Amino acid sequence: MLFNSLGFIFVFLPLCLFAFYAIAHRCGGRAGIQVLIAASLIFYGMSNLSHLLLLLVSIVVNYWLGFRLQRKPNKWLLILGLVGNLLALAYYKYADFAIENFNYLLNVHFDYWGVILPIGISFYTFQQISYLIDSHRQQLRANNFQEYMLFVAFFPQLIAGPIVRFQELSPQFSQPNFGVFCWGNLNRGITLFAIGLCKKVILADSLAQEVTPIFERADAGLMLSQPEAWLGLLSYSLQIYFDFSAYSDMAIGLGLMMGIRLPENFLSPYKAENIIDFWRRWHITLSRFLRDYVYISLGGNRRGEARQRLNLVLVMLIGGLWHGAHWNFVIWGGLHGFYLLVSHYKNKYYGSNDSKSRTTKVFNILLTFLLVSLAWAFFRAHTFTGALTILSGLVSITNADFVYDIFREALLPLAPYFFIIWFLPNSMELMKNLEKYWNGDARAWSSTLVALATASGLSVCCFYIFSGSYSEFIYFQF
Amino acid sequence: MNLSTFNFKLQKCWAIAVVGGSLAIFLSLLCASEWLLATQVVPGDIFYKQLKLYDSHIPVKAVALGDSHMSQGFDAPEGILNLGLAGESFNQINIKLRNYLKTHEKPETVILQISPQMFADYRFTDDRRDYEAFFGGKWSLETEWYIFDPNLRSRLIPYWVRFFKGDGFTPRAMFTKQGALLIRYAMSGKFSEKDLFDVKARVEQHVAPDDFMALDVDDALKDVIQHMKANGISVCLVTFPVSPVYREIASGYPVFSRILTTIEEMAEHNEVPYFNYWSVYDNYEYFRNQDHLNDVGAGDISKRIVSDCIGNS
Repeated sequence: MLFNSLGFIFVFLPLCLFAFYAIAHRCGGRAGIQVLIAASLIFYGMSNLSHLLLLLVSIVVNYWLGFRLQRKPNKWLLILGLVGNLLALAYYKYADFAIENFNYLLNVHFDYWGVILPIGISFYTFQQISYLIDSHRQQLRANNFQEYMLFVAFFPQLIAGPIVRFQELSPQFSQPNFGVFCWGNLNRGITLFAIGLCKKVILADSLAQEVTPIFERADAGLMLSQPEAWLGLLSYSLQIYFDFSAYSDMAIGLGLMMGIRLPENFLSPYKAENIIDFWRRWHITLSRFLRDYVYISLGGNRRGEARQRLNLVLVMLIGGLWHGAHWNFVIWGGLHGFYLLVSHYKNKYYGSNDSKSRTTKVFNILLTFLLVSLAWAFFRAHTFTGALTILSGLVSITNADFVYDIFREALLPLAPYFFIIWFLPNSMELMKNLEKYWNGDARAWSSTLVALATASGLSVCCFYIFSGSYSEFIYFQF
Repeated sequence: MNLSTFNFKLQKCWAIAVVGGSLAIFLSLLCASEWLLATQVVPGDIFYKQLKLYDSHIPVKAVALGDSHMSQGFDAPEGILNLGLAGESFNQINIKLRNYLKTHEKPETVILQISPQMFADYRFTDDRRDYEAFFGGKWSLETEWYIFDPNLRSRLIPYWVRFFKGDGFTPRAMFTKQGALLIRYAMSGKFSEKDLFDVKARVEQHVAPDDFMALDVDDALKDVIQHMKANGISVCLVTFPVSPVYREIASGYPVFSRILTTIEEMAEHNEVPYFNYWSVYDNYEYFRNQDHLNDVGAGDISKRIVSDCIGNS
């Protein structure tokens, strides 16, 4: 089930909220947890029942391992848990990729297994790995199975994050006011959900209409004009941001409706002045996971500068491969690793010039955006040739007016989107600005206007969805 | 009233306003869209015009089916009905034809368009409309809501944009009594770099996969022909002309000529006449774009088709 489907918005969500609050009100917070678990399993099971079984088995096994690790840290038990989780991920996500490479390298022809990727497996595997490691590190204590189950399966974040740590959710489940209905939370949740829905349905999906045909042609090895290549690449940079941050907004919004706070995942990443800054703002919970559980486990910066650089590149390569079973993702990760290395060297030898002057700041933001966009070519294209077609299209000058052509056919149509990413507040900033309307600090008429704007945004998005102008979230495929 | 009570009331009102307002606006948008479709869009919509023509049960001696090439390229004379429609797949043509035979007086001849463009991948994925419902009599123009037609529904946003821009919905093309859609516009035959690029893109869009026979067109066609024969109806296959520039670019893709040869073989194998007009025109004045005839071209080719197909049946 998709968040951006009418079935979810008009049936599943209201029923889930009603059942959660009604039962929690009558029977207490524990019963509320059970309702949310049931809702989450229904939500997940509706797409594939056998994958639901896999999720349940994974939850039970990891809970048991975590429980043992909390009682007594055991390196081998931890390794068993990690290997088990990674093997499951490898089987479902990378089996055919491995066969493809095996066939290519040894010139053999083994059949593909055709394994269907369980939706959300990359995300819930990482969450459970974090649980095992934290248990081994003795950072977790005495938790119960229901809380653990909800931590993994909580439907707003189950499919595509944010990647949550057990310590972030568990204390919220045990609070005395958990399951107590609060109009303020509902308002905040609905508003953030509406912001996300608008970003997805109106912005990301309209950009997808530009991106899809251009990348399809590039993947087919067909020629692209220079403005087309620019339009395709820049549109995708914007699309993936609006799409993924929309999902995160909606997930956080849904959490808020149920009184559960999920961590922020995006903080205006395209306002970043360098790549290091970019990764502090883009998919924050993944960056945090990679830093805490991969980079630090590899030694982080404790084993000398050379090893630190190597760790950095390794982490980015792993991050790339995590996104999908294709060498393009590895190249994407490698490019970001390279960018990070250059950024670190630059900072070391020339110092950071962030925010020295307005011009430098603008230049840095544009340069970072360009570099990130170039890497997206590998992320979006289904073939290596496709990515190269896009990149070579960017510099294939066919006439003297090429700058004007790029401006007119690629930059101008995208101007409203650039305005949004560079000049408007992000969803979280917007939410802070809106607080006064729910706290009674604003005039009645302006509160009414904001309510009307939210209602209009929601209904227009529902209308878009009704007309079929919507698609799956990009990150569902990971 | 203390602050917390005030906040509670304010927040409650806010939530009710947002949820209630959303539902009210959404329902209003649906009603307004139904009005837009019923009064502005459908009266000029070719599909519904054809459906009306289909439902009118005019007795004819021949029926022509195909995609936009048939729809725009065959100015059917009286006694022949053109049921061609842009973007129609083999599957949809098959459904339409079978239902026509079930519910109408049987024609003597069926003129069936078959062209290389119909083998392109994208033509096998876009079956939005339930043709069984529309052409099998389960859908009624009088009682059904237009917003539930998936094809119209999927274009609601562009329709609204067009409405607010004031562009109108009256089609520029002329829909004839016999179902043809004639367009009065002739190509110049001079191509800028951009034009050539667009033609190339169009040809590339039409390139069929190398294993085009795996698309089951052969079986579908055989099925149609056998069904016609069993009903005592003769079948005539035609391929419509394309412009010289289209032909030139398409000649760079061997799959086009392979498909044309395959069609010829299929026709021979099934013992039905086949007329290939692919390269009969070198004059751009017959074309409205790179691969579609205009009203002049349609007028000319129609005479040939009628003479070849009806004469041969």
